[in-house]
Amino acid sequence: MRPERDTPLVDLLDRLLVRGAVLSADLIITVGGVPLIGLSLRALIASMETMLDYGLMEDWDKSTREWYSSRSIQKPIPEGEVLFQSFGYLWSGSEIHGWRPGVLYLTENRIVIWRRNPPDMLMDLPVSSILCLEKEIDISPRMLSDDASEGPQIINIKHRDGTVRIRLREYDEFYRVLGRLSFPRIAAPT
Amino acid sequence: MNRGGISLTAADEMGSSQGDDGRYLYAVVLASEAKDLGEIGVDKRCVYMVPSGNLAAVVHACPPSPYDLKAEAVHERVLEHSYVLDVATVLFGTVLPFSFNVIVRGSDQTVEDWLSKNRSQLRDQLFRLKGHSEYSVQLYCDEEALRTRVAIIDEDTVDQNKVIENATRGSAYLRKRGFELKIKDAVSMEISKVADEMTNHVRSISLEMKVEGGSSSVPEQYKKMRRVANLTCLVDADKIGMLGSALDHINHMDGFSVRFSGPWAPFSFVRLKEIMQ
Repeated sequence: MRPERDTPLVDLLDRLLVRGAVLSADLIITVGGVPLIGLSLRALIASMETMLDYGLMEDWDKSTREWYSSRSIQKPIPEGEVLFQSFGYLWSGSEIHGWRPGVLYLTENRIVIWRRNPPDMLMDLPVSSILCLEKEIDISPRMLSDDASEGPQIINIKHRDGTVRIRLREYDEFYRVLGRLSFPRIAAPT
Repeated sequence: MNRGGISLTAADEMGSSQGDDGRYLYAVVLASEAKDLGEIGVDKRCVYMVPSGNLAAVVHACPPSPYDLKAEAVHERVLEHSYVLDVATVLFGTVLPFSFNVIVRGSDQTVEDWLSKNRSQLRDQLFRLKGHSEYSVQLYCDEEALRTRVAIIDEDTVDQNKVIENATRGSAYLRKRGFELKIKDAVSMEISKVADEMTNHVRSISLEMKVEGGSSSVPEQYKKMRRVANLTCLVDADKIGMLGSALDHINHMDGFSVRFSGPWAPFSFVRLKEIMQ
C-alpha cells in the first residue's frame, strides 16, 4: 500500500499545532540575548480535546464534538504532565479474578490506570511509595507462543502498602521513564 | 526582494501598529542563497529566505504578535503554513519544520544571528534527517469480525454449544459466560499479536519510531473500529515501498485495517530543545 496525503484537516492540525516542531517550548525564549517569541501552542493546545475546549473546531467537525461531549465527563483529572501512557491491564484478585484493561498514565508523582468505559480509576499509586519492580515470567500457554518474547510483560510493583500486578506491552519504555524520575531505589527488574 | 512591500488586510493593519518587526518562521533548510518564494505564506505573505552560511530560514515579515487561534481563518492559515513546508521540501530536500505561529521578534539580522549561533546543531539535525520523511501508521480493528473469526477457529466452540444446550439454566449461564471471556481474551491476544507484528515491521524499517498516545483524530471511515496502534516513523524515501508491502500484508488480515499517511515534514523527530531553551 502507498501512503496517502489526502488526510483530514485535523491530521494536519495535529502535526502543526499539537506536536509542534521547533521553538514551541515557551512563550518567550531568549537565545543569546535575542528575545524570540515561540508561541507555544503546546501550552495552549495540548491535544485535540483541548482544541475542542478552545472552540477551535467549532464549525468543522460536529461528530468529533459530539464524541468529545459524550466522553468529557469520563476523563481522569490529570495531575502534572503525563510522561508515559500506554494501554495496560491491572490484575484484580478480589471480586473477579482477571485482568482489567485500562490506560496507564505515569506522571512525575503518580501511576494510575484509568478505565474509560465505564469510567473507573482502577489504580492510583504515588510514585514515592514504590519500593521495587519485579518482572514476572508468565507460563500460561498463550505466552509460550512464538511471539512470547514480544508480548506484554507482567510486572509486580511492590509499594509501601502491598503489591500490584500489571501487564504492559511497552514495559521497557515505562521502566526507562520511571527510572528518569530519579528514584534510584527502584532496582532494575529481574 | 519584496520584503517590505506586503499588502496588508484590514485586520492586519489594525494589528500592525508595531510594524513588520517580527519574522514568522516556517523552516530551516540547507541553502546558501537568498531566494524569494513568492506570496505563498500565511495570509498570502511574501515568503523568503534568510541565509547564514549554508543554512537558511524560510520566513515572512510580520508584526511581532501571534495569529489569533480562535479566528475563523486559522484552518486556512494552517494549510498555508503546510503548503510553504511542502514547497520548501521540494526545493531544498529535508526541512526542519517549525510549528504554526512561531514568530521571532526582530529583523532578518536577528534570524541570521540565531542561525549563525546555532549552526552546528541545526546542521546536525538536517543531516540526521536528510532523505527521510515522517509517516503515520495506524492499525484499526473490527472487534466484532475478529470475535467471529476467533470463535470459528476455536475447536471448542461446537462442543461448547452442545454442552450449553444440554446444561441446566444456571450451569449454562456460567459456561456461556466463561466461554465469552475466553473468546474475549483470545481477541485481545490476537490484537496484541498483530499490533506487535506491525510495530516490529515499522521499527525495523524506520530510522526512528514513536508510539503515539490516543489523542490524534480518527478519520470517519474508521469511526466504527478501534484503533489499536498509532505509530509515527521516520523513513528513508528508498524504503517506503518496503514499508508499504509490510503494511499491505497486515491490511489484508481479516478484522484489521491499516492507515498509512505521509510524507510529512519531520515534525516529531526534530530535536532542538537544548538550543531553544
